Amino acid sequence: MIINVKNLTKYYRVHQKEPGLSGSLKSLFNRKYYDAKAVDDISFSIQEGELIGFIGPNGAGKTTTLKCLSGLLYPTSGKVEVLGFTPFNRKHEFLKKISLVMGQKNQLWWDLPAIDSFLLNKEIYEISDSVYKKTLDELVELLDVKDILQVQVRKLSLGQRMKCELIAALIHNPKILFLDEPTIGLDVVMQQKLRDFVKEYNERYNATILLTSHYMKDVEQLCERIIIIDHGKILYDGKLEDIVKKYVKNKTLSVIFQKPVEKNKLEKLGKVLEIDGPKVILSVPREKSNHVASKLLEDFSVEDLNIEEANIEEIIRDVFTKKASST
Amino acid sequence: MRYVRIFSLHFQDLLAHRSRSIVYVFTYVFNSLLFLAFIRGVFSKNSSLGGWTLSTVTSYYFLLILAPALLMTHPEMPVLRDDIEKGELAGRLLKPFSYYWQRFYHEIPYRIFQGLLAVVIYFSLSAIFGNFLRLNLSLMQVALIIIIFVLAYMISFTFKMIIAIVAFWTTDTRGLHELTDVIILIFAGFIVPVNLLPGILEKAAYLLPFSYIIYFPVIAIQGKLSVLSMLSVISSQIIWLCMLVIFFRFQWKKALIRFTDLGH
Amino acid sequence: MKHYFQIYLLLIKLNYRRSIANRADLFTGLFGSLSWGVFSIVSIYILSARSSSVFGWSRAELFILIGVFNIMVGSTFRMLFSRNFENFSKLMRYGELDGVLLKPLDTQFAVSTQHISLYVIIRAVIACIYTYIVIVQSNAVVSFLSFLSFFILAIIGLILLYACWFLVMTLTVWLPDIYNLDEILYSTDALTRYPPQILNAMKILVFYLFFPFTLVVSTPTKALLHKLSVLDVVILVGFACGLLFISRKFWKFALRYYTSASG
Repeated sequence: MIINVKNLTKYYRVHQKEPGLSGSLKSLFNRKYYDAKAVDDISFSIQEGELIGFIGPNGAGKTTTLKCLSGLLYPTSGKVEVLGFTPFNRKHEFLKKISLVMGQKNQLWWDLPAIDSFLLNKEIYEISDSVYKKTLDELVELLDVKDILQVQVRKLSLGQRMKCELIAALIHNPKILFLDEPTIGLDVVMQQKLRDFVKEYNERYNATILLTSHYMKDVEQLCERIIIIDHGKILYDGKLEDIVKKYVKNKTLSVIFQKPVEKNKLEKLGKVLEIDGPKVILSVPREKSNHVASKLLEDFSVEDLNIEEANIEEIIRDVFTKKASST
Repeated sequence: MRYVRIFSLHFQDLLAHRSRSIVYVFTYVFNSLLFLAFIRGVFSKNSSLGGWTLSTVTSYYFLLILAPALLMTHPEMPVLRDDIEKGELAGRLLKPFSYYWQRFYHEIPYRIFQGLLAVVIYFSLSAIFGNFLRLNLSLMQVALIIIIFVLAYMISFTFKMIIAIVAFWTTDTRGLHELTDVIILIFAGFIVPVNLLPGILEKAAYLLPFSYIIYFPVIAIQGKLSVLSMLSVISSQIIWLCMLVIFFRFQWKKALIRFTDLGH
Repeated sequence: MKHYFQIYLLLIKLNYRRSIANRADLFTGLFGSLSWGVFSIVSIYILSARSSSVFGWSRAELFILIGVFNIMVGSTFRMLFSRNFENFSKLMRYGELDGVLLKPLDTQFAVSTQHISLYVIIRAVIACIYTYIVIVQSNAVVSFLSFLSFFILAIIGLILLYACWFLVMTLTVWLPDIYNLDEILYSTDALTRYPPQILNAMKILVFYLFFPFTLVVSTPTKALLHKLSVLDVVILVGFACGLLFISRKFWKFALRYYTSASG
């Protein structure tokens, strides 16, 4: 196991103020605080080379978890072990093996070309000239940024800057990469390019990658395993495809018959959701869906038939709302 | 009602960031006490200098905590930081409220809060040093002092607005801000009372508007000015205020053209 | 050690390139810095205009003191450290410290060395010329030995001042909203340009907390003026080492409370 998290909890102290001028005056003399549970007793472990997606709404605790794993935050309680290190001790050997990229923050020097920031990282991470050159060339080629390395960072577009951020974060060949909302604010084309890169990087270097995102597409395309987190708790941890089996008991069949069919005949096969002349939508238990479909084709004259898997984004939304309504 | 609400909003904003005001008042206290300490060293050899005794000069420096907290305005930083750099200016110009007065209302709560804080500190220091100001002023003098303070505030605010608006032309105005701070510190009477400034600096101080922001209001409270000299101070203040307002209006017109030219 | 030295050299280079890329910023910074230099000198002339000596220091000695202040604090300290300290609250408020903490570098080194305001060298040159002139005018004799001890004590004094700033600015981990905390230190820095006896005249006990500031410039200046005692050296070295040690411990402790702008 390359990452081991046991009962990790992180609280923040938050100042609470009542609205209005009187509230401001009150808090002048009597400040009220409460503990916000950003991460609440979570446990999981990750193997080398895995590419894992962390999903959850804003404020769910995704970023806080990544920050605890990378040693930025001191956990309130619980045990975190990454590569055999305790992250918060921030041993230099540990920091040389990880990297954290946050979509909204930049570590590049604003007024200088990106190449200067890479050079500084080379010095800081004590990378030899030959390794530096090799890694840089590979990354530049993968991300296709050859022309912009000498341009002042402030003059780059957001997408170009993000690519340079990635190079700065990867120049020391980290074994573990934490990506926090890497595609935020990018246009669709650039998002796709970034996804391709992450996939390629994972495969080429067998790097372990944890990524958070609230674009489902990022996660769907990249991650086999996902961890769903909300209100600081893990709701689901497992294969992406299994979430469908776990949460979606039924599949939807939409059928267009050549002529209208009696409703009671269909009700034997599954639950009729909608009936509109020859167009019918049926809901059937997922394990029976194939059987029902072949039965429909045998017994009726069918013009068109579709078995629809529920959309993952909707499923996850369902998971969150169910959680919200049950608490 | 509208003004009350604007004021109340700004005041809430201030209370949320009160710690910053406390820092500023601390710097007034510290600077003033430091100059006072040095002057006490000077007075250990002389019993009186240029009409000042140890006791009057001590209360002068105490009032130098109060006066800037009430009268030194700082619109230049929000203008540069919020309106120009963060680009909130366009929104402000759309409001049915002149820019000058918007900034004016933004500033007032800070001066009240810092002023109150300074009053508390003033009395605590007077208790520690046993140096209470013996106020012995006629009603007439009190009325004139209030006028002097109001005019001092207006001069200070208008002057700082003129400096602030320079940010419309270049955002690198921090050097200018520091230079103005230095000039004010010297000529408004922060280091020593203006009449103790050596030779040419003293003459210059009377010719510049800054002594009318801090020095004259302070010595007016100390009862060092007769009714007649107060009236003369007030007339100089009015002349300065008029000149500054005219200059500001002229500059504001140019600034607006500049701003719309840039197509923001 | 060599590793850090190489990084620092590269940082100087990058800061140089940055200031070239941002010339307007450079001029306004230099302009502001020179204004305060002039202010410090003018204010001591004004304050001492009516007296031949204050707190046992003659007027000529006070002018030398202010010259040394401009070399040490006004130029060297401002050039190497001030911008970094000004940046502290931003590091905490916007979670920009993240980038620093992730680097395999000593964090105290990293937060103290990002910005080097090279343009202040011009102020340093002017301050040196000024100091040379006032020393010559005062007929003080500066031997090689007194210059050498001045030089060493000045470095120790700067370490002391650095430790004081660092200790106070570490509070921004808990108080990121006080983004003007550095203003307190800029005004307490003024203590360094007066004789230490000025604290007694301030009459308020709390201000003795700032006693270390009064040693920073006055002790090396005493070396120039042949007024130095062994005790002066011991006190300066003691405070410098002690506070530097405490500032490191305090910083390490404070980082546990860093919220990375998510609190």
